[in-house]
Amino acid sequence: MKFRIQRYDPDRDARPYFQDYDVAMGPSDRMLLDALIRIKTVDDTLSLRRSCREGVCGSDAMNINGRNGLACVTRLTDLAEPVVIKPLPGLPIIRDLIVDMTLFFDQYHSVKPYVIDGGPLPEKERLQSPQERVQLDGLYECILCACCSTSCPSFWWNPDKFVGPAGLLNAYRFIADSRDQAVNERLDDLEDPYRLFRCHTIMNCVDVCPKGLNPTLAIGRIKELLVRRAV
Amino acid sequence: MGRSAGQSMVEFIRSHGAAHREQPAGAGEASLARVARLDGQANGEDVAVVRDEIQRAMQAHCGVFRFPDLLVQGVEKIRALGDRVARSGVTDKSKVFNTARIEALELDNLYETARATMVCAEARKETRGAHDREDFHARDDVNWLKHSLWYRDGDRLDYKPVNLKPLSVESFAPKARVY
Ligand code: SF4
Ligand code: SF4
Ligand code: FES
Repeated sequence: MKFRIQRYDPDRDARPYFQDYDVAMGPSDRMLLDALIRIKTVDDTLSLRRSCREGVCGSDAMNINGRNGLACVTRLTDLAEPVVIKPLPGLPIIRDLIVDMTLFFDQYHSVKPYVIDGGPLPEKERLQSPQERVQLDGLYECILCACCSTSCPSFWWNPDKFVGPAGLLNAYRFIADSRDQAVNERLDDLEDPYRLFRCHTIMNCVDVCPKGLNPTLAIGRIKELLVRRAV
Repeated sequence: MGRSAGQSMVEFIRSHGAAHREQPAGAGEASLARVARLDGQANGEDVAVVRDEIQRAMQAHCGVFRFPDLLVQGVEKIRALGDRVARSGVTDKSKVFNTARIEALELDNLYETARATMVCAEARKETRGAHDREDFHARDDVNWLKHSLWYRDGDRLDYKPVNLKPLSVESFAPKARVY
């Protein structure tokens, strides 16, 4: 099977280049990650992140034939050859398919992704009714792979100022949480021409999310809450 | 569960002050030597090839259903792979995000784990847990209710008793796992 993979070694290369591989797949190779691991047995200098190999850890996000996705849940049979593989767009490349995720995680941490409850520590767990818990479906499943944020043109231009779809989805995950007491502070923080309002509903994020989540919907809900609060 | 585990950890750390033991002189030398060995290794055997052989040996000789002759052969096979692990190498010598080096270091660990598993499994003449040993189908609490300890130094096998006395709750007697 034919692959064209973007390579970059900061010690040797002035700029990234493409390397072609033609490697026979084994009988158990199903997913793109299997293929990349097989390529690595031929050329151990190819660097990529991977861990769970089942779409749970979010570490093998990359640009595959022009679309962001997780190598481990991308079927080889669905890919046109040569399979063109690049690192996630818009973030600094450390080496080969490995990008520096600092900006992405800075934005994630900026939304305070944890339950805030100013009160005294309760004796027992903070309970939720099944109805309250259901509000978090479609939000809590985010694995922070960054497929969405690095496909978003607004995030490419302003990764330091725009929270991006992943961060905003997670911001809404806590706004929607019945146990959280900081909704107003959270909305104040997002009411900003860059942090929230750089989203122009381009929907690239929804298109690529490997977990089938809908950041645009979550962003719309935040905007709606801001409007409701204003009237 | 998670909450009380977290609370116990906080309490433990608070009550233990500076929790680190004094490091012996030269701590870390062994780790640096492993990396230096890899950097200096010329024409080493492919990590991927050796790893594949370890995996195949474990699968064929130490699976869920275990047979005495296969276990004995398995111990030999795994022992024989030791030299190849020690001579394995990587072509990637970069200092930047070198995942080939990580996989080579993992190979050392994989090898020791595989060897401990194989040696202990061969020596244990009973069936316990989810495995089944062809020549000893039953569980034997009289002779084998004990932990296996394998030492790399001297390739030595030892045992230690199972602690059946929890600190704060009633214990219950061990019994066979039946399906
Ligand atoms: S909908 Fe918003 S966040 Fe999603 S890709 Fe578009 S601009 Fe970015
Ligand atoms: S929303 Fe989807 S694409 Fe974005 S980080 Fe989470 S799991 Fe990845
Ligand atoms: S390896 Fe964990 S998500 Fe792909």
